[in-house]
Amino acid sequence: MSHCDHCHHCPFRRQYKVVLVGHPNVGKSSIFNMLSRRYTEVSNYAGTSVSVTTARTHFGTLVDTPGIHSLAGSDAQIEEITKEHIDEADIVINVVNAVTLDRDLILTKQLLQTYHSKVVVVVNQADEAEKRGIAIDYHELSKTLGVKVVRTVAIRGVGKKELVLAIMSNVGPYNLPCHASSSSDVATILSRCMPHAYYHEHHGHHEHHGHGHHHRHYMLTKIDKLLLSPVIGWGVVLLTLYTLFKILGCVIAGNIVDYLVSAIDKFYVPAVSKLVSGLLGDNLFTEVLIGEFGVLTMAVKVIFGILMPLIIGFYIIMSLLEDSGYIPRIAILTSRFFNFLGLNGDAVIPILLGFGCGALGTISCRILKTKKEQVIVTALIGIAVPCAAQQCIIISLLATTNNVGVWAAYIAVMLAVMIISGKVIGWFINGRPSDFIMDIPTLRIPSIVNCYHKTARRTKSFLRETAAIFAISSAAITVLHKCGFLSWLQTSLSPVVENLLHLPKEFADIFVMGMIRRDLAAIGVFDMTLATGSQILTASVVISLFVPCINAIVVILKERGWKMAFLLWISSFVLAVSVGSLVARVSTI
Amino acid sequence: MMKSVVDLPPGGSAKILKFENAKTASLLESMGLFIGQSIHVIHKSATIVIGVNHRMVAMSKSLARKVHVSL
Repeated sequence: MSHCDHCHHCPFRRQYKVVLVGHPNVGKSSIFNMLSRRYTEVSNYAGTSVSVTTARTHFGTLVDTPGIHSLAGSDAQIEEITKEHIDEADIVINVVNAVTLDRDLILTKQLLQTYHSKVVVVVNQADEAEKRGIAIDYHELSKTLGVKVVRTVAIRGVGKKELVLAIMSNVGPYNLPCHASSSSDVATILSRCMPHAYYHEHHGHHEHHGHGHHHRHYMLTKIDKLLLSPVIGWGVVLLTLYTLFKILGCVIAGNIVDYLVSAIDKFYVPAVSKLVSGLLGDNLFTEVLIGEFGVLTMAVKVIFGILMPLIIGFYIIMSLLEDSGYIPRIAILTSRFFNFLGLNGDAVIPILLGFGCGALGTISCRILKTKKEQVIVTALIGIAVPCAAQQCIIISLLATTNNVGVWAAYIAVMLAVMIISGKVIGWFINGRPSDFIMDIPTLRIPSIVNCYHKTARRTKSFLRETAAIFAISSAAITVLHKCGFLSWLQTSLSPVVENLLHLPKEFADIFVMGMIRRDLAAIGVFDMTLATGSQILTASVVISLFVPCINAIVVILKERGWKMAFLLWISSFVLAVSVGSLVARVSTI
Repeated sequence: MMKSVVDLPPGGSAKILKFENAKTASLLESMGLFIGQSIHVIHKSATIVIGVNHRMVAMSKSLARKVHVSL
């Protein structure tokens, strides 16, 4: 639909700012994707969106905001961002989840009290509610709230037309009496629009919903009890980690990467080397392009032959886990561990996102309620959480030892570093952990379409971010190598590398690579010949603990200030060398 | 007898009687937990998972202590 100038009353005449507001994990991003035909990441847990995403649509600018629980609650930083956008909005789409109407209507009431004339309520995930026997009278809900109410199933595009119409016709105040802005509580609203569901649930008579719904609910609760139990729950976590290790380390690194690297070495490298040397002759520029660290040889082989297959495999597994709703269950299982560090279960989300990318994990610390929690989690991500690409390489590296003990030792060392660092940082900052409360989403079968979109988006973003930096780094390393800097560095650092870490002196190059990007350092180690399991373990620990990459440091600087960025950089360097030397000594005993 | 959510055994159910203070009330009401509502305990460890209406809510023990229930 195009912009229209023919009629003064036409709603297309001007462009509107439409803002999506709602609780975490109600499907705001799915509505955003449905209306804008763009893709923003969608997961089955709260806290996926921590920043604002905008898109141009035919009715104006569509804004997806991070989830909030209240307009006057405790998610201070995120609420501020959301409120600013609501104030500027022409239309506020309040997304509520059909399954959790009792919770979500509190925010709806708050929105209606201040912004009544510009609110449209979207009841999303209506199919999930219907599966559970929750029948909602949308007309009654609309009448009671005094605003338009649209039923949607955003992931399937259901309700798109009705929502666009509601947006277009919501230019002026909607002439329905608003009962909700009075003190009428949510229970009254619910009893009007879903009398059966509310009555039965309120009195605990689940059996009134019929056998099918009851059986499904019963089965899901049973599965949840198993996933949360200390023995089976932790067994499933370990099995998941082991599957990740097997798929990345053995199937992808052991087969697909080997095949791709040998194909690139056999066909691509000779062809491009012949072409470039034929065109440019033998000089430094040729060396930069096709030498040992060549932009067209090594960088291409590393990105497309090694990193891409591993990273795609990792993203697919993560997308499946995120979509299934399993992540919040891990948050509950690990809550005791996080309590010990002075944190609560909320910390799992930024840390898990940090396993994808340190910069993203640091930004998502905004969901944490106290400064103490934000500082501890930022530090843990900066020090002890390797990013996706780095993990893939480390898993592949550890898999070459054919010894699960080395992998277990690596995890034990990283956990010990995490616990000690968290505890030490906690001692220096005052404050108690905030009260933890989290909605546990329903377990569901992951959507293949969403998994595909998410993996494609993350892979593209990874390529965009990596390709240029890898090319520039390869060129810089060739120049440093040619002018003798790397040899000088190897000799200068040999007491540290050879005597303390028991690694080959070429490992000094890894420090230079690691300062640019952690995955570049991991690749350097992957290409290195390490003779023993002890050396592989030490190298993996050192590169995991090594300084945050440039991207992550910039974000830490922005979010937490220069003092923390500086302290984190220095301490992670010292920690990498000291823990590495300890591991080298202990593992050779 | 008035007890808090931490006193409930796994599988136990109760009704919310009151919240310890206004801050707790605001936090829990924003998560859809109200006075008079029926809850049941699904899982109990460092974090307590309760079932309320059609959904599950996890909360820390420290928060659960501030939610008084009638058995």
